[in-house]
Amino acid sequence: MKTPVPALALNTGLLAGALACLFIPTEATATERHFTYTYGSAVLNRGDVEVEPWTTLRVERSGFYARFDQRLEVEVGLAERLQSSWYLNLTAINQEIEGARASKFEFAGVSSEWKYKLADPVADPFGAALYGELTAGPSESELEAKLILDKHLGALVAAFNLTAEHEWIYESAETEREFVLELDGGLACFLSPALTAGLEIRSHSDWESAEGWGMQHSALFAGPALSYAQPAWWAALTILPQIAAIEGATDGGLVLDGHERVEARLIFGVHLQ
Amino acid sequence: MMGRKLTRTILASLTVPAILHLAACASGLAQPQAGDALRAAERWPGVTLEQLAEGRSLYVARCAGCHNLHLPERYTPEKWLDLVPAMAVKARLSPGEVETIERYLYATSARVRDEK
Ligand code: HEC
Repeated sequence: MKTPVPALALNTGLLAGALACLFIPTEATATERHFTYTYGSAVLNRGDVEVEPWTTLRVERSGFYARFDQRLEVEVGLAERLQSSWYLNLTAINQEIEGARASKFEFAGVSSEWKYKLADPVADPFGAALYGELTAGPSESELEAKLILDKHLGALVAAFNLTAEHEWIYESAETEREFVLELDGGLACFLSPALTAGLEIRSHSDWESAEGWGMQHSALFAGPALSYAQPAWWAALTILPQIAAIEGATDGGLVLDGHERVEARLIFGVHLQ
Repeated sequence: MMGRKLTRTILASLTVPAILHLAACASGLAQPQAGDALRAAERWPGVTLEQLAEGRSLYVARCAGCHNLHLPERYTPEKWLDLVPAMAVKARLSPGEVETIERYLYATSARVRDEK
């Protein structure tokens, strides 16, 4: 019988790390995001404004594929507990199609996001927020709803999101619809008052109208997450390799038609006032 | 197999105190008590328990926008009287709101620190 020594050592290491976190004193200053796919429940105070450039890099499908998604977000605290954001979205794709490389650059539309905080991750047993987002673009539109839960304990930060999304994809002849369910989670530890390190996990599943609403792809991603904060700005980085296919595997147990082998996202936050 | 069993035992013996610690911390941000109002009244005569509760709500509403809330017991009562005014501009607090938050943090910090 094979003893899974590396897995056990990894588990032990992770658990020991998480336990150590509980006993580290933390200052937890100026922190907005510790993860890049998973949101926390915090909202800006009324009148506060933050600008966030987002960069997402997605590489390698069954053939050559490299994609840059660039978003520019402006967040505004509108009322106690309520925050709104506006985004401009740009996408650049380089891809191999039938043996030839093709590139595409497009304006992917604008988004409006609304977030309402229900409970605080320190003051209440759990932090919670509701989130809605509408994206309208030339080739697809999207409506997204999210439930956000998080908790801060000692130097440990945990967050979990459940996201449901409905997409309208404008094909040349007709509009296709897609339903997406996403489960995201993150666990991180403050290594110093400014720096956190942790792990982020993301699962993405989709169902398409063109296929009689059958599940098309479902993939699991997991990887390291880092965040760094200063009084006027912060940054968060996640690198997420695809680790398993739940549905629709194409190559070596991964989904490499609807998804990429690796996704990485970097978000900067700059506090304007 | 022995190694695995040993690791499990070590993990279990680490996990139990951690869960107890979690449970203790999960009570989170102290709720003001009658004794806290008496203590606060020594500095701000006439302060009531309701006013301290209002201070807690205001603290949660206005001080969690940029960073996680700091538990009152993290700093001494006197230190809070420096910290809250220092954050007042960031949180856009009126002088009255500064005092409401200070009274809550001052009184609960003193009690929770004494309890420890
Ligand atoms: C607009 C953003 C913002 C808001 C709102 C805010 N803070 Fe802060 N806070 C900061 C930043 C940035 C730091 C770290 C740098 C510094 O000390 O200025 C900080 C640091 C702190 C610290 C740690 C200071 C130390 O010396 O260890 C405490 C305590 C604190 N804030 C309390 C509060 C309280 C109480 C409120 C509500 C009245 C509040 N904060 C609201 C941005 C904010």
